Amino acid sequence: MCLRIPRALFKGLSIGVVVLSSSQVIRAAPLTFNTALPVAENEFVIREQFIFNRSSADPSTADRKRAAWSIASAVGYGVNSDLAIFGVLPYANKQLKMTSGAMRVTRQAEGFGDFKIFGRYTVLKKNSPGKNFRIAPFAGIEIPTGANTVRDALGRLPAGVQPGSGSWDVFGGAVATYQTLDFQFDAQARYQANAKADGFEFGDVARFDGSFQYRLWPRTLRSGVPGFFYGILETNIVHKQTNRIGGARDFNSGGTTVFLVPGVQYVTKRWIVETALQVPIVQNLHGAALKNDFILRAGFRFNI
Amino acid sequence: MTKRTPMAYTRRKALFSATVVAAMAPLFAGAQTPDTDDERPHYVLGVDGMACPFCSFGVEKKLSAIEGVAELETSILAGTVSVIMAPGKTLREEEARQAVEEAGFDLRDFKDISADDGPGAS
Repeated sequence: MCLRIPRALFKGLSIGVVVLSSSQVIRAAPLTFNTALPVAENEFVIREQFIFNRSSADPSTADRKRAAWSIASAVGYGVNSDLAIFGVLPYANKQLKMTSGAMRVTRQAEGFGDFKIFGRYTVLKKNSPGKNFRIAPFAGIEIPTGANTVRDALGRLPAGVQPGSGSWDVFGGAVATYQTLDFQFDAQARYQANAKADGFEFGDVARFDGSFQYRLWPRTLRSGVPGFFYGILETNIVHKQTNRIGGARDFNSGGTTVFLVPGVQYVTKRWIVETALQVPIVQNLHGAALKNDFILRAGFRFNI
Repeated sequence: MTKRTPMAYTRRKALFSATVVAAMAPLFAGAQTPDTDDERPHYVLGVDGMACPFCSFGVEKKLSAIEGVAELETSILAGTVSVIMAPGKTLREEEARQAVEEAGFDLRDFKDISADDGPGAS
């Protein structure tokens, strides 16, 4: 186990490097969702983010503990300054420890997840000196590139441990951004309709997100373009409907979680480093659905 | 009390002379070697919507793709990009506007500084 994680991390980072090599331009954004800021015409944007997600508060007797890490590589292309196309490919390792009978078992899978592709079009844009405001609807599809039938000695892994969903899922929403020299505010509403695959269907997901980024340093701007150090506070309201197994509802799945997300971000003309911790402050989950402990995010971006 | 020796006095005098020469050197150098920046067309563009370092990079990247652009300097506070062209090259306002808009922002104003500094400028 100790040897597997570094090797897996190396694989993920290698993927990131490959994607990075095609990047040219990137810009600031919230850590837990997208932004409405433009992608310049015929330019690329890129984002690499490491995500560690742990859930261990199990109300059932199975004493489940789930841990997953992933590296999400996102690339965007500006068709023009209003229309941008994005692609996101995760590589993940998911592990579930649980008590089955009298035994403690570990089940895990690793590999590429489902590939998301979506378009975002700016319908409202207002630029003024030192500030801008944008509203941009988006819509896309999640393609089942990740495996969803991985098995181990105990049989087929639970859907939550599979790298992919196996289904073609559609999503859409709208994002708004208000940016000034001192702060930036982003808000998003998003809905994902999940389809059935191999007898299993994840519940649809509705979420509302907000992000406030405040420039902590430099306190006073002078000439040139200094690096900006932002303090960030985000919130995510995520509602998942119950999953369906063989057409029947799984009443131990779904529910509503509210995350509070403090973070920091350092932005220069050529690169960004950022990190944030998603802390669940409300978890109103159905039945014995596994509760989340935290989600740690750390990422970097480069202009090449 | 410190005793001043002739040697110490000589050293201070030499240091003072060197400082004066160093301070005045640019004046004389300017007279002998014309500042090439003064000969190059120089423009200042006002850009609306530019509010973070990445935004400025996108604008600079689009402007730098224009033929003849030699140097760019952005002031994010003023919302301006200073553009220096190669000798003999000029920047048209429509070119600048298109580059800024392709980056997702708006050209607020366009000033030809070299024309302002030239003979007859008011």
